[in-house]
Amino acid sequence: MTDAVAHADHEERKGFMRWFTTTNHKEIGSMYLLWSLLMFFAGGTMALVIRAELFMPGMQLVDPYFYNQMTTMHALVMIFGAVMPAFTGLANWMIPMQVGAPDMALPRMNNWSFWLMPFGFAILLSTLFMPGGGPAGGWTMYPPLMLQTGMAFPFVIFAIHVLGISSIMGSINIVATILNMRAPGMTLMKMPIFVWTWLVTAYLMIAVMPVLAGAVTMLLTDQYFGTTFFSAAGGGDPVLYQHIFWFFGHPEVYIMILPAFGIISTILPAFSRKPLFGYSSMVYATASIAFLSFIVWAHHMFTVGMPLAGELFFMYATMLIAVPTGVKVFNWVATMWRGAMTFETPMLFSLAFVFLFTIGGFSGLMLSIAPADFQYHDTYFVVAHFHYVLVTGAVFAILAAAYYWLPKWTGTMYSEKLGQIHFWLSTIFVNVLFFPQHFLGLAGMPRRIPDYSVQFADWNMISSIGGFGFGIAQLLFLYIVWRSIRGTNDADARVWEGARGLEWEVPSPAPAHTFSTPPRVD
Amino acid sequence: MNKTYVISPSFQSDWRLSIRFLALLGIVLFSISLYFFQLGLWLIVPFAGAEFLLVAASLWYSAEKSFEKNVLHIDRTTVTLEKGRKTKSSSISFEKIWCEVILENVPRRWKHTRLFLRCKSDKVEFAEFLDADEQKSLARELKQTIGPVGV
Repeated sequence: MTDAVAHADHEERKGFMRWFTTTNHKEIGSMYLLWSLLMFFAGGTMALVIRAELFMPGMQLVDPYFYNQMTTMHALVMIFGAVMPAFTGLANWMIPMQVGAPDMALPRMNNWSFWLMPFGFAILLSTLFMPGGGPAGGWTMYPPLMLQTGMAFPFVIFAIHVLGISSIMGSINIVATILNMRAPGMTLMKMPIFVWTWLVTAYLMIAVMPVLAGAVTMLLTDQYFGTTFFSAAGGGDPVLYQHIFWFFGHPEVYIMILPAFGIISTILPAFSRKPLFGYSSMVYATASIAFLSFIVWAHHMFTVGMPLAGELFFMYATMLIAVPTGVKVFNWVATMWRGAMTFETPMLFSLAFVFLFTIGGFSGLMLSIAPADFQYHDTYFVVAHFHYVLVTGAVFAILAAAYYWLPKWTGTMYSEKLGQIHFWLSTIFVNVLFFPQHFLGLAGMPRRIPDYSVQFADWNMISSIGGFGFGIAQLLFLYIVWRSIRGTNDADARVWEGARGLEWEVPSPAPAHTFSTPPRVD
Repeated sequence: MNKTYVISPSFQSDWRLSIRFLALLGIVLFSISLYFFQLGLWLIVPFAGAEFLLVAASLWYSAEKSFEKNVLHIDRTTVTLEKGRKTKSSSISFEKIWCEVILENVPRRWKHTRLFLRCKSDKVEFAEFLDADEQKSLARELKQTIGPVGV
């Protein structure tokens, strides 16, 4: 063999160009995950600005307009920069390995979809430094408030388009990989549950993204081209924007939670040493949740005003979501029932997910009751609800997945002791952070305010302490990941005794190219 | 000594499943956009249409890739390379004695290696759909039957 052959490996390319031009799904997956970690800390820093301001009543650190920019940016960064890219990173790493494919179906598109993201975020975050500041009207960007944004407005819209294109291309790639690159013998109902949840997620994403793209473009034309889609003065309707935003926004919530369901459904059986209970019902429950997500959007708008029949329809449709979600929780519990359970860090995060996500689910049920929602709407109760779903739900699932697959990615087992410390600190502080917000909301504290009445002082102080504790605990996660990346490649191919699936058939760390010869699935 | 290599991508597509997926997506996507269109929100329609076309093109392209096939017939005097998808679309023959397999490193392109069959001044690329590792092992194997792997 000549030198040319020996040097043909893609790893030969060094430095930035290697990462900039890579089409390898594992490298792109790693970039997505590292990007998501970076954005998690950026969005987390914004959250700490919010919590520092709310530590005591009165204005302490920032002016109200900057506070509003922080709440808006925190949401946009966490949703589009941290949670969604983390799931896409996990999909990039794991889906080809789980379906026995050598790579993603469209590797160049994969590269573009990643690299559009830093570009989009550079635009979005740069608005904070523009005259007039960044967007401050909330991540929902309701007109006419959003139209009062200064110079930043067109840049925000452009950034959303860029990030949307990135998400769509990522989803198309995942769909094409799942449909066209499965190993021989892997029928749809033999696919790992994580792959299933991602197929449904990608479908949802492709179905609703044009609605967001259209909505923000209409905002742009209303502002600069004289249209009046959302202006009552010209015959338009501002409430219509809210309808189309939430037509996108509610499925978006499921886009952020369905892959989490897939992760938990993968990890619980591994550490219970039992197959997943009710695989088929899990698949149908996932599809049912996706279907229902299209017909519940107006539960975000009960107080905006709609006919009684509309209130009733959206109330009952929302309550229906509890049925497939209940199926999932039941199946997770049944999977663990009489299993030979062990409690390593991924399992601990998964168990915390089951408990804490269920709390978020129950508060969601409370919010779905239209007459009760009139009391809870726009209070901290809503903030508590969606943070239980997104932090102890989506983020905990991502952390569980990171611990579960980290040895497969890096070849080095993380420190179990540090992992457990990270788990307990995170779980304690996240509850200190968000549980009191239920009390604040029920007592009537409105959301999106930088100052509040003194009656809310105690719980706010406790919540802020929880926020800083949770934030500091995540630095430990950073250290654990860094140590694992710098480690000594001591992990076995099958890291976890109870783990099943094609990804555990390849060595750890997974080589650059896997399954050049497709495995046979029987 | 006669030898035949059938080289195809290491995955298989399910085009019927892709069609079903596209139909399900199309129904939902166009129902949504037409509903909003009749409310006056017509700007959703071009985005939905463009996205549907992108999904369809991507699924078609990835499915097509799986049908790619290169066949190398090697006998005592001749090397014949046939290329095609579902049917043979091109064929070229070389004198074996002048033939060599070349694996080129291409650091500034998307693809990291390219595999060629060269005979005198003619040079034909083949097995483009394989990844770098697969091309490397194929080159190594062909070296035994055709000739040296050069730069």
